[in-house]
Amino acid sequence: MSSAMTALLLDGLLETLFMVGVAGLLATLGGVPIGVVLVITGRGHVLPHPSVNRLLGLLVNGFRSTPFIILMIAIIPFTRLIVGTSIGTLAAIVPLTVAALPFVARLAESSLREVDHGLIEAAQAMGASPAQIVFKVLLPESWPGIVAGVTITLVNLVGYSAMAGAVGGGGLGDLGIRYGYQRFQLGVMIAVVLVLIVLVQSMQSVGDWLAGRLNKRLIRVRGEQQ
Amino acid sequence: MIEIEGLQKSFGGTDQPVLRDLSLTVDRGEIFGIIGRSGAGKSTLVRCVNLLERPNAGRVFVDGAEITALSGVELRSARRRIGMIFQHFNLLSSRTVWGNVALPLELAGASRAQIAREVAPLLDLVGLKDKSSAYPSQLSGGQKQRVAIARALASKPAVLLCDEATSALDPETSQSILALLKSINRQFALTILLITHEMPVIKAICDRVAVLDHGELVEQGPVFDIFTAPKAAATRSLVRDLVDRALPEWLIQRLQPWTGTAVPGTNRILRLTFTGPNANTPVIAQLVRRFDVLLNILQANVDYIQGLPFGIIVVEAIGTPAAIDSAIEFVLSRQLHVEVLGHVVGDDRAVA
Repeated sequence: MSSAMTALLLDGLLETLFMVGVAGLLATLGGVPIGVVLVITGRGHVLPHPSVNRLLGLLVNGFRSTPFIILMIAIIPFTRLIVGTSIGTLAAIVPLTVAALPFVARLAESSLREVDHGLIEAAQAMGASPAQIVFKVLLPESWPGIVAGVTITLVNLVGYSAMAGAVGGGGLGDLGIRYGYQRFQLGVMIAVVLVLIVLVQSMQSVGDWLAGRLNKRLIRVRGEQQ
Repeated sequence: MIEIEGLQKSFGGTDQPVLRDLSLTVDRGEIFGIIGRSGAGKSTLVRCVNLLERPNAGRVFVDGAEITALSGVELRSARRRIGMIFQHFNLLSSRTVWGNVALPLELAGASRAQIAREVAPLLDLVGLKDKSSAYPSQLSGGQKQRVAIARALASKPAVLLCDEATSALDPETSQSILALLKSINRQFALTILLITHEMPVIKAICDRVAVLDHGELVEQGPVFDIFTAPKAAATRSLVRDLVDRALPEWLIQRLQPWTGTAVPGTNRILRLTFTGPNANTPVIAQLVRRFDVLLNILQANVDYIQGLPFGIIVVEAIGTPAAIDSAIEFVLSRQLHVEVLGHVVGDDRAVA
């Protein structure tokens, strides 16, 4: 493969990493708190608030049920408002974040919900406030699940970023479509796919490793029993 | 220390209350047990004490403060004076043993130095000094409950609530946890309110006990009295499991009801119950010596409750009706309880 091609691939990879990384980070920063609110405002939880819970749930579902390609086009005015343009890598981050955020929220919600209610009661019996329950019990207990959820989101974002590439977002997906599909350069297509496979595989491995490190429930397998 | 007045609680609909008009007083420094079958409302009752469950009516006082009048910040600070341990321990899996015991101190806003000072002696107290950096998943059930006890004591509570604290443990571990609770009770004069469905737990450590049945307290009093002279049907059925063993199958099959008059060729089956000051006197030996009566022991069980002996012996009395009558009178004169269960046809084995 020519050095020009290698440079293109490298650029594409960096653009993809940039889009996925920034969108993933923003989606996590926004999604986890929304997940927390979805859980604690639920019935019988520490801050029950049915109307907030239902409204937020509807909103999250609304964004989650819109196909990414449609969402991307539908929020173009919003994207322009934020970054001043609707084309380019930076512009692609906006729809990617908007798509990933409710996804992270739902995944975070499900791991937060898995925290044994007994732990919450124990904390309440100790005189913990709702905020203390969130930060000292719910979040620390569900980090392994949340990390696993963020990993899934990042892998999804790689796929979404290829779609964003199709409408001028750059990245590996853009490269594959322009050179591999439109110019029938099979070599480029194969190279793009291989790079994507390696990328997704490494993200998944790092995510699994991190989730495993955080999970103290399985420590017995590694640690020794005295 | 804990006063409960007219507690009423029902869930969802109003048709079937879980607790009805329940009143109870737990004295300072005692271990008070509440026993009942599952579904009797025990858990709801103990959870009403720290308001994990808010009662529909009634008042709860802990150490003079009316808990039921509190909410928000005041309730949270009152809860710090009420320790609680649970059947399933409820330890944070993400924290080490040390971190779990430190949690209540962190919640109360204690400084790092203060936490460091207080956690170590607590771990020492429950015998887990060497496990301080272990995670709960590395501990046995008994060790987990010890961590939970240390955690509950961290905020220096005035009372400790135990919600079926030993029900998930094997009998041996259960006894060691109960021994720990008792020593903590004696050492710190800590008032303990525990609920259980297991009579052995009550027998092992409680000073007083209340029996809960279908949301109502049917009986309460010192543990020895409840065991030796249960009055309510629910109490009798709970006690029977422990002290009043079922008669052997062959005896039940052969036992004929006692009509009050001796039938020739049959022997009376007596149940002698030993309690109180004369429980230690060698009555069986005296009966055999003084009266012309042979006693064939079919079943015997002597138990110690709060340090007092409590025995039940089932015997087949062999002798003339007159001799047996006077033997029974003798036993009664010693203030011991005797009951004629029935009579059986004497066989060679019994006579021999």
